[in-house]
Amino acid sequence: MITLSSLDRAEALRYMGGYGVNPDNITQVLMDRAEEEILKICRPVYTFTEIPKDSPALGGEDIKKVIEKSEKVVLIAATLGIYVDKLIRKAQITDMAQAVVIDAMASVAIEQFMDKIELELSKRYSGYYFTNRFSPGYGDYPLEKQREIVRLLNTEKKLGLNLTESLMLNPTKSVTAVIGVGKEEVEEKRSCTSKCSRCGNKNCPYRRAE
Amino acid sequence: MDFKTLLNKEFIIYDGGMGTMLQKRGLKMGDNPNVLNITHPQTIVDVHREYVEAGSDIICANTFSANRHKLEGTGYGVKEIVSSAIDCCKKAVEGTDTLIALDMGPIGQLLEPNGTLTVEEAYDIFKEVVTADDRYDVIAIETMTDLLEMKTALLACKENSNKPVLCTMSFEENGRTFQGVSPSAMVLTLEGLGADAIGLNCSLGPDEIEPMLREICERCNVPVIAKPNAGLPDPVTNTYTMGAEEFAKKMAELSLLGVKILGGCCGTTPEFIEKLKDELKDKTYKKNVHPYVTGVCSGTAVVNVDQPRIIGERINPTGKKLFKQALVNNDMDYILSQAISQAEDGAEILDINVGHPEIDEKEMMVKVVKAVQGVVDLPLQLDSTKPEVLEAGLRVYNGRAIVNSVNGEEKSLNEILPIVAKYGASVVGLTLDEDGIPETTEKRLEIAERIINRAKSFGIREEDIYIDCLTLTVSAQQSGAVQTLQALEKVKEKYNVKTVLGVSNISFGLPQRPLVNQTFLTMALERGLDLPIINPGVFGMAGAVRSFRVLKGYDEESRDYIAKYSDFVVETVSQSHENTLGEAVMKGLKKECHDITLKMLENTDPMEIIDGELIPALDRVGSLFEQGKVFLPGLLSSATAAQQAFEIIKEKLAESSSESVSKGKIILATVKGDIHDIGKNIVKVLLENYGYDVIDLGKDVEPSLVVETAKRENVTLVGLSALMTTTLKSMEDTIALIHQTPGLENTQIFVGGAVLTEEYAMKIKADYYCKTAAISVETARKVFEN
Repeated sequence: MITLSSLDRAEALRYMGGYGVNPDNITQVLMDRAEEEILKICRPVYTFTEIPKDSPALGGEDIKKVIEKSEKVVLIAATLGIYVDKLIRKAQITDMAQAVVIDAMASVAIEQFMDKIELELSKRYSGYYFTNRFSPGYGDYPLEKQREIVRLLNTEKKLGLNLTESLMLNPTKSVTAVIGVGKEEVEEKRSCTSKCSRCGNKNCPYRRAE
Repeated sequence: MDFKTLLNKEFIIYDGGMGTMLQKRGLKMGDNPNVLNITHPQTIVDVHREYVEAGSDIICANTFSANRHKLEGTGYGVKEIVSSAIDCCKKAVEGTDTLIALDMGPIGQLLEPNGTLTVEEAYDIFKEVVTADDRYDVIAIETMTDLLEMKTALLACKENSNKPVLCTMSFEENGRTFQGVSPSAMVLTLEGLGADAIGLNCSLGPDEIEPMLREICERCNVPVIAKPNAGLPDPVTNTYTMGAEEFAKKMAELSLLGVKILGGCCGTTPEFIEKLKDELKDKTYKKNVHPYVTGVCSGTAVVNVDQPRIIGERINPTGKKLFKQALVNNDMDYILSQAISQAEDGAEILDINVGHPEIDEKEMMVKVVKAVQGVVDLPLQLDSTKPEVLEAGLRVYNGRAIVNSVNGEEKSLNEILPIVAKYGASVVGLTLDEDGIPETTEKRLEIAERIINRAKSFGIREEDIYIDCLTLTVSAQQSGAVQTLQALEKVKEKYNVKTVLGVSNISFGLPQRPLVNQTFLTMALERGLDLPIINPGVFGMAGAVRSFRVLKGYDEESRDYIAKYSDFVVETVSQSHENTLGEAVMKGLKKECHDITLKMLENTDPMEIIDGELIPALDRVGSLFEQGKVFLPGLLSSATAAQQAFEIIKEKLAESSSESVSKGKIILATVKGDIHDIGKNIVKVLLENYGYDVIDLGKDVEPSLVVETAKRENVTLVGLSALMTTTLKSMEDTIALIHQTPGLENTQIFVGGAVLTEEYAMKIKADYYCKTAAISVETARKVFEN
């Protein structure tokens, strides 16, 4: 069982438009409260499976490059569960400032959960190297592939994770991702380039400074 | 053979997994395994036949995913898939008396408020499956995780077929479904709706289901079903760990909890069923016998009426000008904030009354029930005298509700009680009739008896009737208080019912009303009041109930009381303030903004407070935000604090005149298909702060609704938000529709959202692109100043 014990404030600030700076007092207090509430009510669950390199769940040129040297491809889906959505909905009625902070902190929480899943998987695949995680919507990996991923992993039954007709994951604080697993060390992962610098979406509001 | 006859058997044996068997035969499951009924019918027949031979009394047709939504893209329709599935079953059961179940699983889309599917659409989808063929003996609704979806499916069965319905949901190891439903909430709700058997299937193995199964058996009065997986699966190989022998032994053990219908789900095979049947041979069915505890629930919370419980009275327009205004203006946030604050103050059930002559009460009831259930977990009491309003509310309500109310009038009894019975609700019975409220205790008892007998004739349990002996105003009729209390006591003595009472009326016309209210409440509790309807925000009222529970021994070790009051500070309106209103806004001090404004209003013109203090402070925060010295949460905190001041000013204006502080009307909407509305709500808070009237249409909004509202309200500025690339198309469609609509030539549109760019915004013919919420305020200023 993977649990989360604390959330990365600096990362949450980046989602709120303040990368690498100190938060004001109000934001600080709201982050404390958000962390407490999220950790109390989230129910992180995940599932994974191995898929072939030519699986219909994959698509686009970018992902091919990522998994070029991998022997296996692992497909993961994870969610914080439905309660976090309700918490955000409620905060939007009572206190928008708190809602924005919970939203950002919950986005951090699901990423941290993914990190922990990766750690867990590295035990299962000891002796292997992992590529970075790659998700539909990154680069030219089509968002439409969510359909295939959700079906393949049977996320509806296993995680209570559905896809809306407009291809949004629901509960909203959920992630699907692909990791290439291979014997060869992954260059990019060692180098210090950030995930953002490899992404094609230059207008993304959450893009890290380079 | 039919299901009723089958119940005479000691145990009923269900079938096992279908998927596992098909994979064993080398079939690819594809997008929808139900298509195999048509492409590989013989294989399906063979699998069914194996289960029949293994001893299954009921087999499930291969129709789990045979709904319109899940068949999309397969090239097949619901009718042909269901019919072919039943053809396969018919062949398999030939020469035996095995029953055929029409199998229905989840639709595959989350219902509102988590998703975009409405209850009404879900009902249609299930109805289509139920009516596709009628050659089945029972209906099995399986693997549900959302109680509202389960309820809707069950209603679709009961209203379109007379076959028995077997309902099972899937629970996780924390004892809840993914949607947070507990076994008790499931039993309470489904039993009331007439489910013929209730239980669990899938998700876990026999070892893990025991606590959930126990909870079901302790509460359930209809046969219980257990249909777990063959243990837990390995995530990579997807194979299940438990063998047939072990499975059967454990299931036989579980049967002792009081389970009547047993079978297997994922990973189980005919071998499992055969062994299970063997193991059960020398076991006897233990029927569940337990005292009935009346209770109500939402999808996620159960409230047992086994001690005094607080019903929050605040969602009710009677005597509340602002609430009436909110109803007329469709201001959902105002109503929802009332729900949330009552929940925080300790209400355990919320009364929902939205009756107002200027609105469509039925439509509003549906809207409010859905919205309130989206933000609070508490069970609801639907409050109306109109049967059509109550029924509409009950259909979309997630859980088991209370209906408020029926009275002794013939018309009321005939119209309300059948609805209560159909939806399995509890009901409030008012002790009044055609002749009004009787003065004497005896007369009220007479009416109570009439209501109780009538309700029972409709199959409603006595325990589920909550009698209201009615509070009269003591200043008008002094002996009334004693009469009410006497009647209450007698009703409890004589009948096995619960009692409910609206308390606050007692003190009408007297000074220091809380004193009288609290004393009367305490007297009533001592006489046996179970459900006081009060304002939980009044310290002494909720406090009286909590103290009563301590003194009577309901609140074990005073845990609840201590948790609530150990750090409690009674809030007062402070008279001196360190900050000016502007400073309080800057610092985001909500309570202080509220208090200072209240004080300022004594001798300052409302518009002067707005233009002299609030707007300048907001501008200052805004510019600090632009300089990166204040973050979005800081900006919004100031905005929310200022909102407190605006609320009081609005309240004041509503009391005194029709003067309006509005600087212009703006429609905001998150476009069709998009469920992320946080960005839109940020914009809303800021715009409202600058004095604009925002008509918030919410998320997943149809283009036509934007257009209709703009026309009706004569709105010249519309803001649209979209978060995903996939929903930008809806944004474009909405803009196009606005531009095409005669009468909206002067309506301008601003757009925003993470994936939008200036260029794209112009391409889809928006008038303004607002990268941030602050820019939307600038845009509004520009538009309305011209």
